[in-house]
Amino acid sequence: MFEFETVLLAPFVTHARPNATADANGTSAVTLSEIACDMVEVSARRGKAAAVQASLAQLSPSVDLLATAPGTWLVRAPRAADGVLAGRVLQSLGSIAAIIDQSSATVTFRVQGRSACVALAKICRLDLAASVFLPGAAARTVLAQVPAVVYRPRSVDAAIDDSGDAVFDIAVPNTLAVSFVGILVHCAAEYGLTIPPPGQTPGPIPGPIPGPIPGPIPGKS
Amino acid sequence: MEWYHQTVWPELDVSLTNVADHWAQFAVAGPCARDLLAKVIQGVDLDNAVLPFMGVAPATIAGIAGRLFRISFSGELAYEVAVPARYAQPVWLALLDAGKAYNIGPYGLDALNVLRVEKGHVTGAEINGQTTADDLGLGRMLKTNGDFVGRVLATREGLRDPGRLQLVGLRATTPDQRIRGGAHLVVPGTTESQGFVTSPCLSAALEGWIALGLLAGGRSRMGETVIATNPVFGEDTPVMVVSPHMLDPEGRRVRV
Repeated sequence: MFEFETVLLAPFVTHARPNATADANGTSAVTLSEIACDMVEVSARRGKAAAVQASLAQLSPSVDLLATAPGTWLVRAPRAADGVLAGRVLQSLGSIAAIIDQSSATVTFRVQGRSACVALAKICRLDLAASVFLPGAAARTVLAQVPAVVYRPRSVDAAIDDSGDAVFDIAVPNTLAVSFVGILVHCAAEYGLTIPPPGQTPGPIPGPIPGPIPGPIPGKS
Repeated sequence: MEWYHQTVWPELDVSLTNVADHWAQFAVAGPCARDLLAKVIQGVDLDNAVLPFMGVAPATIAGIAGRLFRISFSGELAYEVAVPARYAQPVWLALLDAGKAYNIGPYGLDALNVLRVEKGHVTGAEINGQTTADDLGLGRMLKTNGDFVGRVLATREGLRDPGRLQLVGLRATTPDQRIRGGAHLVVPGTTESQGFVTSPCLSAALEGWIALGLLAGGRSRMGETVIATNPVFGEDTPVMVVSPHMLDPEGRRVRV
């Protein structure tokens, strides 16, 4: 299995220095970090969705597969040399899909903690409850007028435990990331917010949860 | 594009993805652009015969895999380099560093606007939703046979009327007399508007104030003097109607 490193890019440098605030009980119920990942969009050629899904399944679990639309996935992996992930996907799929490197196009924020869900509810119209938005679920939506992909990592055990930490990864266009991180800070502040220094793994990531590769969620895209 | 795909050409096996945020793109413009880029680019021959005006090639720019375009909005010899956005800053700094020997300087949108007005390159002020390709002097870019989006409308009588507002260049006959954007163009001694100023600027390469404008039947009125009148400021600026291509009209600079 793999882990993502937190990074310290422009949005955090200027708008959210590593720090912590506490709620009334003296604890922080939300942790916010930026994770370093590469992202490749895969769109199946007509009639090839099943073949693409089968080939992508061979890449898992060394990558995350975010099903964002019928026949369309975002393939995600920890940041590596430029073009490596796209090359792997291309080698696996050949010409049965359009393969677009979007590694520089998005910034991914990880929002986790026992109040992550209620903090995000302020700006997210999707039901992110653990019983509905299952591990591995991904959806394209609009958060605070910013186009976003919301993803609940498959690889985080606690994601499905109501009493444990919820984990959400939110990818937004890099040109809107500075504005968006400010919005996340405001959403989470009242619950107590921790922004860990860079270089730390943002949370415990145990082994993958076994299960089928996710397809599109009906009505969630 | 997605709308056309879904409604007009649903049979096409095409997928569309917005990659705007993946790429950072810089213009490197000026007579020394090629010499500068030769210092930071690998994997592409910059010779004019190999990469001519409007050429494109994959390239390694300051060690980063990207793309090189031989395009020019400024009207100068120019290239645009594109790299994944996360490498924007190091590539930008590498370009500035390599350009020190040529007295390089970052230029902003105001400078770019002056450069493009001198060249007669149109933007949103002229491509305003009411002008046709022919109005803007771009009629020759339309396909002469076969179909294309807009072909039917382009042949309609009212859109081919020679009296329509057409793109022209304007030069103040008294060079330091300002031309204002939005000023109406009238024949001296009359008050009927025959068009308006779209993009004025104080020229760098030519003397004084120049502008692009839209003038009724403008292409047949070269050399005529009209008044750019602005009642709000109480200004009447006499301007001569000239070709919108006020500098290097043959486009030699972009092809050297």
